[in-house]
Amino acid sequence: MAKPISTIRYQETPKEMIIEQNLQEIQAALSEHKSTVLQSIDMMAALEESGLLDIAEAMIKQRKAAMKNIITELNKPQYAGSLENISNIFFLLGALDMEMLQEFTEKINQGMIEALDTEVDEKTTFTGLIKTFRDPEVNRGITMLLQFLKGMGKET
Amino acid sequence: MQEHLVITVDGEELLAEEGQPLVDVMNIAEIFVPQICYNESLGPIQTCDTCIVEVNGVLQRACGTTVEAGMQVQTKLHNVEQAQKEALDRILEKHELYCTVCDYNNGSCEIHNTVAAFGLETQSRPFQSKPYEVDHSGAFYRYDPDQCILCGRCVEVCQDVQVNETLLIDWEREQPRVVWDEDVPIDQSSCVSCGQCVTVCPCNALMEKSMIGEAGFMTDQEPGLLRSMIDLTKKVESGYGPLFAISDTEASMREEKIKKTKTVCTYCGVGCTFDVWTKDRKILKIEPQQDSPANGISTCVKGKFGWDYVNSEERLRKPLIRDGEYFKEVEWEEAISFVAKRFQEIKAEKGPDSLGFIASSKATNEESYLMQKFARQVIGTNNIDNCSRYCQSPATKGLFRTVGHGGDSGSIDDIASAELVITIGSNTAESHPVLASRIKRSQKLNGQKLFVFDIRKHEMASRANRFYSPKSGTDLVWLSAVTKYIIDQGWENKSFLQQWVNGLENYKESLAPFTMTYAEKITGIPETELKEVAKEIASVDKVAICWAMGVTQHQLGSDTSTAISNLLLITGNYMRNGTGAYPLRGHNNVQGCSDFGSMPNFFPGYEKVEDEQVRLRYEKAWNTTLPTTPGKDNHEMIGAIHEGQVTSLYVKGEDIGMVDANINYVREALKKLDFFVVQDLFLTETAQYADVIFPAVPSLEKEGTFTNTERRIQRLYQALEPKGEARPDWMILQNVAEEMGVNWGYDHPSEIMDEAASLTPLFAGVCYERLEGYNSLQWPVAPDGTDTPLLYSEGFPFEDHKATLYCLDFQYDYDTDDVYDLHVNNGRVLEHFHEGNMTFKSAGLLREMPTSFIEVSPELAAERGLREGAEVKLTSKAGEVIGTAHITDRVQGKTLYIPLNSVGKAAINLLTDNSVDKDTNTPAFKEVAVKMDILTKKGKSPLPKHNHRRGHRQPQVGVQVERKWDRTDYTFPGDEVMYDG
Repeated sequence: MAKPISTIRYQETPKEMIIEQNLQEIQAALSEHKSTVLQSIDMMAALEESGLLDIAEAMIKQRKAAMKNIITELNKPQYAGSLENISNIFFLLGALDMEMLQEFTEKINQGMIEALDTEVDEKTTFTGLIKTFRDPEVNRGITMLLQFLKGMGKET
Repeated sequence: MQEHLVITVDGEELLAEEGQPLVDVMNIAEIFVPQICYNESLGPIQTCDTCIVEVNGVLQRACGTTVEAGMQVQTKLHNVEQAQKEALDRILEKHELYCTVCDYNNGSCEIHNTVAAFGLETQSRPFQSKPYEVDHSGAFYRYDPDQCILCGRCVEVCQDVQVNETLLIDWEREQPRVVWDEDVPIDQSSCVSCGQCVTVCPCNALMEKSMIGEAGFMTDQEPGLLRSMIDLTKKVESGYGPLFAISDTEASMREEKIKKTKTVCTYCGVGCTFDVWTKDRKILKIEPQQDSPANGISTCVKGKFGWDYVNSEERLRKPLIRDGEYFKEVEWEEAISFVAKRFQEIKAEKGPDSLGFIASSKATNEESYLMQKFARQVIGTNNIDNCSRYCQSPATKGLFRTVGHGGDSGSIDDIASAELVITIGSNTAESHPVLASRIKRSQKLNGQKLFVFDIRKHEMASRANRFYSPKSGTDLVWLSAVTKYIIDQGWENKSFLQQWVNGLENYKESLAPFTMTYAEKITGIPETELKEVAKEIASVDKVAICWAMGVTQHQLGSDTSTAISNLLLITGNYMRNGTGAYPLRGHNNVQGCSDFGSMPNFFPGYEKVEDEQVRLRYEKAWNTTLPTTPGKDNHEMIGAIHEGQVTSLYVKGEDIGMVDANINYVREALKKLDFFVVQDLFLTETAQYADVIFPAVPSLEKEGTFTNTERRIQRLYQALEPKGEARPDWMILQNVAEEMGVNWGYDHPSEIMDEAASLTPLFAGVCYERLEGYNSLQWPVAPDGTDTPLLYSEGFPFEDHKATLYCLDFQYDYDTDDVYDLHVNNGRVLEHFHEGNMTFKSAGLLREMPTSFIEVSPELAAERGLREGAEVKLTSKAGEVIGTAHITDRVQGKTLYIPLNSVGKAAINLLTDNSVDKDTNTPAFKEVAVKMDILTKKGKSPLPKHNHRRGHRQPQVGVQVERKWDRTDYTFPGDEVMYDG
């Protein structure tokens, strides 16, 4: 006569056996991915040397707190402008004509060099100003600036 | 044949079908038009306005436009784009895009995808928060009104697909929203948690709770922090381009962590298929597919949310062997060799027929095949049966007698397309919810008529055009009387009978006793009503009859099933779509378990064990000699144990100590066994009597096929690794066979199916390649893979291709008497499956229905002076139960109802006795007379306050978008843009 039984005596796997099984699994995986494992060790060593490993470890362990601090901070009004600018800058970069900008920047740089050469005490009189128009470099510069203003004023 | 017509879209001619929505034609032709509310399974809803195109010079919604010949459509005009943009802007005013930290960002968000495909770069108007809290009150899903775009898909599916009629949109309030019943929290409403609203929601407004904080990499945060992250996401990802770039990347990263596996539901015979989303062992959600053959986008609460048992801590992880007062865990080798040794000893000592085998209708076809192969080939006995003996064998018997195949005549589509559906003894809305919804939809929208015959006024009864409660067990009488009346009136289908049916004259004579007067006397249904029923049956072209345990679990179960088939033959309701006989199968694989041979008298495919030619085929394939006479069925095995003829039993995945009738008697038998092996997920009531228990795995942890009520064979794929050291049933059987010296050598279930198909003409063309993904096959399957959605279209499977009318009489001796004066009915409830072994492991389902109860009619309660929550004792001739009363008008007069998931002292089968269907030995579960003692007069109601049965349905057709259009603040986006092309 078999009585109904509702209790199970669980088999406790000895700790040593679990360790043994796990080790075997790990060993097999290591052997299968030998080069990957070696490369990872190199990389970890490099990270450690640079001190990045410490930083990464600390950050991962404190991720919840870190996330909260960063998100809370970034949501303050003073960052709003910068954050919005992050993506806007990408659009701006796309809109700029880099070749023209480079040319223009060069000219600005030249202008700045000249400007810095100027003696602080030197003064320009009205007639002097008129005369400078005859200087081909000044004339080219003014023409260019006038053209630039014209372009800027155009309706897009 | 549907008429075809030609329309022109952007100068290109397209072929369309009459009545097709324009948007559908464009989708098939892959012409882009934005759309959010449109869903092929739901049809046009017309709420989102995003699919506006120009039709014959006028801007209108493509979904709400039915194609007409010569129609000129423009999709690329400026004003079209402007109108679409306006519609999308309105949606984005209602829905905040924070995709990267949204749990719905899994590549299928329809708002995200539509906005991206349209190329909308910036939002014209800011998101406007709505003044409503998130509704977390339900057990399974939550509603966030703030993210809801009011597309109305959820309302559409609730009202017209599931037809539970709970969800509405209150269009008139200042801020419209989706409401449950009369605007109550989700869990106070009539919501049955079928989850279909969540499935069709195009965004994250309705979401499974199991997804929240789980699906994304960065979504599992405290609410306040999540809000901050949303704000931050929006600042950094200003403009939709960057937002989508980042969120799409995150969505593809999720693919790495979330696995989507097609599976077949294990909760009833409908055979719903869906993808299950898993992350490690966590089940994130169930996602039914439009291509799911039996269910489309539909599910019920158990299929959508009831999978917790798979990860239950109570799962058995290692084989167990009885050791004094305990079961001790042992290694597989030890358990297998012990079982093999004992089987061999018992076989040698007492002969193969002293062993019995019970297969599981929850396990796969391949596992049923192997169980019978094990019994027949390895042991050498035909003592093999399955749980269809408890439910469906009488239906199969009735069909074999008359039309020749033991399965549904057609598909669920045929039930949906019948003009008249009659259900007899079937609580369809709770036992086969998804199939019931098809009937409810046809009745609500397409004018289908529904007649319900049941002793209990369940949901289908309350929806029926005609509802009758015949006296329990007397359906045969009214069926025969209606059939006789139809013949007497000359309304039978004469040409059908002449061409396709044998035995008409004899049958007519046998009907003589079944007069209308007699029927009224026996069944209690008035003669005039029955005449009207007969007239209606005869006057429509397509009748389908569905029946279930209310018919089969009686002493006359087979005869009543036969009477149903007789009626269908007389009226010519076979061989055509929209007609036929539909015995609704209860377990996920009750059809397949019998199909694949776990029966004492049949090989797979219902070929008789006495048939020498068939036997020779198997003997040759299995290289052995097989027993020549039928073995014992479940019921006979239990009897034979008491008599000492059967001394060993192997039960796979069945809790016979709970679900068999007269469990006191069954449990006594289990105690007497010399050797008892049980294979299950849990230490069930039955397993407690075992000598060895093998830990098996559930459907999600193995591959195989199930066959649903439509005879549809469908594949399930492995979603999870087996828990602990549990193994699939087929593997365990193979291990034991091998230990007993028979090496089967299967590496995969597909090889078992190949063998079965090669030996069984019914499944000749079945193979796994033809069942890939959501493909399915309905048997019989020809060698070239042609399957048979509709049976008998070429005639009946007899020599002359004719069906047979089978003569019946009515000899019935069950009744209540002066002492045992109450009749007990029993069956399923929506929330729990069968005895509850699986669904009791789900916290959500337990919350919906924590305990069982005894339903008492208000009349009886008044007469006996008992109130809700009273403790009562019921005593039958076989035993007694103690349970809590629930007063409800679902039961009438002196009838009580006990759900099958009643456990402990309340278990229904403590009351049932050994009486059986005279033809199949199926227990007469439904014939229980009891007396009632009241232990306490009143108490706490066993039905929780938040149970859906307490809600108030709000029926309407669809979402009623006209009410949106009537609002003074609404203008059609097409009217807002200029007509300048």
